[in-house]
Amino acid sequence: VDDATADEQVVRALYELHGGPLLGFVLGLVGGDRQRAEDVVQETLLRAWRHPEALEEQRGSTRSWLFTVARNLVVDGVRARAVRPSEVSDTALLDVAAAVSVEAEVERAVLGWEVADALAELAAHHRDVLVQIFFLGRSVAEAAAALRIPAGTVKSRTYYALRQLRLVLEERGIGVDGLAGEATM
Amino acid sequence: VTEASHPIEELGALVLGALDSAETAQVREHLAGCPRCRAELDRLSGLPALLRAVPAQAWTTPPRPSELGLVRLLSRMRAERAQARRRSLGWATVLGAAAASVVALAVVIGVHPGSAPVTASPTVHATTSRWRLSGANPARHITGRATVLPVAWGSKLAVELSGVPRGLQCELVVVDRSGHRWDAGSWTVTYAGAVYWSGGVAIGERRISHLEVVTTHGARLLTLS
Repeated sequence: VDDATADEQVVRALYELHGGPLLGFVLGLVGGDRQRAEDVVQETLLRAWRHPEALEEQRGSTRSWLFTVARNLVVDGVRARAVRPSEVSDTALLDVAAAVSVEAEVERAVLGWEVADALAELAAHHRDVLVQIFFLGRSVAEAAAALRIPAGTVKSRTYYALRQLRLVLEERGIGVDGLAGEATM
Repeated sequence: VTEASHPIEELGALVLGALDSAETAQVREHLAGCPRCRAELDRLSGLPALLRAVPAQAWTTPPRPSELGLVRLLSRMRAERAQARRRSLGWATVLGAAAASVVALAVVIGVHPGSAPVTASPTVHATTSRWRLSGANPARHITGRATVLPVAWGSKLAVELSGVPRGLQCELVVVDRSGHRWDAGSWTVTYAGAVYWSGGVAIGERRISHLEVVTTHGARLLTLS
């Protein structure tokens, strides 16, 4: 058994599964600087490989761990470039507040990319109506004109797209239940 | 109320706010008197909030990291490994355990080719949390076993095959419960006798349905379940 080969398989698998979302997340943090974002992604996966125990101990998902490491790399890079030193006590206070919001920010980003992964699993004609109706905010009539299909088809595809999305999300362990949509009589 | 009169298919557009006001009023009137349609609406009502979490970029141009980035990453790994082998001790330990158990099985098979599964089983069950699979292709005289070791990032796989013709190129495919196929690596059989292969796949053990060994031409040699 070749350890090096197995390690490479794992890193390839991590890259395949999380590379896209991780790159998207980092691009948002570095203002769209593609080269810098790719460097951060590379460094993040290198750390995952160097510290498998961190991934093992991580209670949340692998993706949350990767996103958190990537975010810290970006922030450390920004701090290293900053020239103005700050008071120690100020920094400590800010760090506590920041840590809480950072965790929430990372969790929301992870969730967003999980849902994006689920959308990518939908059939193209289902994804297309969601792009029109949800992302572009079009009405049924506008979507029907844009996609050149009858309005009734837009409605039924929207319904089946959402049903399928719910199914895919549940398979991935993502809770879908919101608040009750309608008050009972 | 007949089946056809339930505006079930309107509910998707309704939760996304895409119906015009007349249609919305019509559907809402029906919902007021129809628990079944209300229940269906409830099942969809959590989705808009989840869709709002999706970054715009994922809708328009889903990012793909470059192949060059992966090549650089792998070469940095190789360089580090060569420089300081001890660093990767964590994974090596995990792998080492899986490898050792496969080698142990192979020894048993070597001694008692016919009765190997029975002979091997007491030691197999002594270690928990690993998932053992096996399979046989009697027509081609190929048998195999695999160990799936759950780890935080997915599953580590160790496979042992016997009877695969020398020179054949094989691929290990992990099939998940929804039927999606994950490539877990390929290799060439270089000598007769048992083949050992280890790899990883970034999905959890519980999502795995079974493993397949296929030739690079797509012919299935073996199913391990």
